[in-house]
Amino acid sequence: MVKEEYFFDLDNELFLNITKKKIDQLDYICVQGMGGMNIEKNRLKLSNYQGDFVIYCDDITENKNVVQLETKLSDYKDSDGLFFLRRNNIKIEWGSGYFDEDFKIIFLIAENELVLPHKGKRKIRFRFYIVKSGSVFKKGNTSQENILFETTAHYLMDYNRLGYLDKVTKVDEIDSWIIRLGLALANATGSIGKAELGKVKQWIEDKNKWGLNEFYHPELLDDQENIKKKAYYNQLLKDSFDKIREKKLTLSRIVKKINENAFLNEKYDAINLLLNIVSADNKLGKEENELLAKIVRSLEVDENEFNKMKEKVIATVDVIDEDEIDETLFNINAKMSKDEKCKLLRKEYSRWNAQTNNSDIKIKTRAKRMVEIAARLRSKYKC
Amino acid sequence: MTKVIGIDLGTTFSAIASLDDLGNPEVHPSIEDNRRITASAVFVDGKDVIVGDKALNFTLEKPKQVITFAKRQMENDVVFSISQGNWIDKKDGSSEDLTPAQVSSLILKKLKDYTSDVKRAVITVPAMFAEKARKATIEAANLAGIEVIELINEPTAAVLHYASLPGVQIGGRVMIYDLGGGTFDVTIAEVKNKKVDVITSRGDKFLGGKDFDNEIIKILNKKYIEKFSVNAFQEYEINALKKAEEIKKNLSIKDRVSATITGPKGSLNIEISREEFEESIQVFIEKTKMLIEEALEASNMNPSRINQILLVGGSTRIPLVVESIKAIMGKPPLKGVNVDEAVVCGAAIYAGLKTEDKSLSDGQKEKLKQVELTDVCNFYLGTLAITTDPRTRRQIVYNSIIINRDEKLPISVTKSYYTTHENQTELECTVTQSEGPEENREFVNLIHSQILKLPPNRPASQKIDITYSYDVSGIIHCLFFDVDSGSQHEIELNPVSTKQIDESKKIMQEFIIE
Repeated sequence: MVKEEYFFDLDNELFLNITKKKIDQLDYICVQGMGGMNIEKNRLKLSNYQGDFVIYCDDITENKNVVQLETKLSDYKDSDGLFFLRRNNIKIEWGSGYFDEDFKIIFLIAENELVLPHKGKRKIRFRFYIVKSGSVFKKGNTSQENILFETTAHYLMDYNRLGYLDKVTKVDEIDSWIIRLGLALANATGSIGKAELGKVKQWIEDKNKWGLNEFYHPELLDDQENIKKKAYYNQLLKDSFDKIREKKLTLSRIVKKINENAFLNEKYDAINLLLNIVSADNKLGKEENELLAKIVRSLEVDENEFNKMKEKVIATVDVIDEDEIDETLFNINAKMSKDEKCKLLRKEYSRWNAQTNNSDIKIKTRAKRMVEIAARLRSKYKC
Repeated sequence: MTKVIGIDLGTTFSAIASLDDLGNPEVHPSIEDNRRITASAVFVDGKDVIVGDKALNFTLEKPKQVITFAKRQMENDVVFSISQGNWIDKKDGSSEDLTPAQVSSLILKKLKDYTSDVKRAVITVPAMFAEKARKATIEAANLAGIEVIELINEPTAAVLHYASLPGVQIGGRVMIYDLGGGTFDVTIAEVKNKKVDVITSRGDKFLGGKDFDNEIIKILNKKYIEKFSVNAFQEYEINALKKAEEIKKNLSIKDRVSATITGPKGSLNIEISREEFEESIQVFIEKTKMLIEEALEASNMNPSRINQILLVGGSTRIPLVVESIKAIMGKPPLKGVNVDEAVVCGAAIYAGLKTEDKSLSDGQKEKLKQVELTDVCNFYLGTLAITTDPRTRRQIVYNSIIINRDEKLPISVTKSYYTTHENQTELECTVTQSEGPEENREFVNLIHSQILKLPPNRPASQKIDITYSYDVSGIIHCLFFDVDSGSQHEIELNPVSTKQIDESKKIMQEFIIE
């Protein structure tokens, strides 16, 4: 009898609800469930009253062309490189499920970890399986015999990054322009130092999740793709360096390319690299600071965000020509009214005054200097 | 009956007060010179120690052995090197050198002698004192044989005193402007009868009369150089600071002051005008203005909504200070109150509030009957968590705030976090403190860090509830709770370990204080 083999009728079967949840500043996709896991009693017994919970996701925006989602995080990547979530060896009693009045969280996924095939508004299908423990999935699917229970739910997602199928040309292209930008800034003084070049390499390494050791010793890499990438970046560094040195590649052209192709987050990533480069020698000079400010203005990003990113650098480097760069340290420019300058300086004063408590002696010392400069400038502007 | 004691452990001056039988604060003067405030100065000669104003008499003869401004060092890992006459890194120090807490304990021991039966006390600290400095203050008290009932923020103590003063009408929204010898605090509070609700505090731990004195040294040096081409003094030189303080005090009542300065090339009579002095301290005044603006903004107020302005600290006697307050606030501060004793008197009142009823006299009980105080959390408390940088979309460790600044005490907040990866068997339980709403991990102080073991073989996204509770006595309780397994890590962030104090106590007992 069907009724005896299943604990619930189909109306009470586990129902998935996919919602967006904000935790701190980050968007999460919350896979919630309500209802019972209708699993045939005998099959459950045969699987020793346990199973693995698995989720795969597909982009079904174009019905005829279903594409599976990827991820950049190894914890969520299966052997085929697809995004998946898996909980192993979950004890399941016959008739168990989520019977609270509210939906209960089954999985929580940071939205940023999902890599979709294409940019824009996408329709995502979540496939939820309870499978026999240890069941193998290939290309996001497993044999029907392994499946104890399955259900799906849909979710609409506004994906504002380039998709992995979009990136074929573009992402690599943007990375290369960011690297060129870094090299151009490093070369502003006429030569590129070892420390500055190291920062560019570090940026590449972070981007590709390589170890530095692997970067310098490609023979340690047995992964063909990584070897190819390494060779690509080495060539890129060499070519770009030559072009910059020969003045065939100018800063304005590089910035123009980035502005044409990059998303905002990629621009901030570029600024991250620039800040690392200017602080590579633990010093921040007047010319370097001005050039950095100029590039950032050209990149058309939010200056407040840039200031926050820059703080970290200012806090830990020696500021040389300090008396000459007071205003630029706080990004005060001639266009600002007296009122704007006074407000900005007060904010900066508060920010740095808070750091005079910092247990890092370097940050604390710098904070004390910044507090002095902010107060001196306020006096100068007669705020 | 136990004596109800309050102590103002100041940067330049300290004082001790108790509640008399009628519940009025009574400041105890020094036995030697009958002064009600004692210089926070210590002269060390081997195991012989002189504390107070007399210690400053050695600034000319043996300046390296005179220790001042220990309070500014309370948060630092430094020791005072008697051989170098300076604060140096603790790891470079010798066993004879003294930590800021040890120096402060000598001052507290001296104050203890001004009255009998000092066992427990409330001690005041600047509102912006970091956790480390607060711990050092408690350590100092313990070394001096004083059990700390609680620490109270200086401006909070002051407003408590003002609110309890007979014949002074304090009410509505009040701003307390506390400019002492080494620190500046501005506090906004709501006062109704004897009920005080602190709304916010802002401050600068490196702004006080000492810095004004140093500006006078700079002026003296400038004029001495014009004549002799060399400096008369070093900056912040203790002997020079004494002279400068004298000039500063005179400039508060006179337009011009003359002083004979003896430098390496001989003596010179130098005249300083009030205008010159005011010009030199403009940057410091600007800082106080910015902090007032910040406090007003944090409490959603504008100057017109502040009913009264109360002054605390000796440096508020400088005419420019009063002028600047008038200019920002559009009204003058309240006159006729004792700016030197408000803090210590408030500390004694608070000690009364924190003393069991059975230990109080009827008069004290009656006086304290309507006194109430609600303080706020002066820092952001948070934990380090992993997130994706919203700007660059790279994974970062950031500071996630759990308790916000200016939250009324007591407070308890629970926030949920989730494990980051499958089979995560460890959780780093961190507690951070910051003055600003910082996200950067580099910009917060880690005040606790410990590993919590988690059960293996679990998927990612296990819920971890973190609860922070901050009680009225400034003790922070933290609970990291793994919801699924019930594993937890619980800590209470309060004074330094007993073992540490015992060892230090032994050293301090060898000192003979005059």
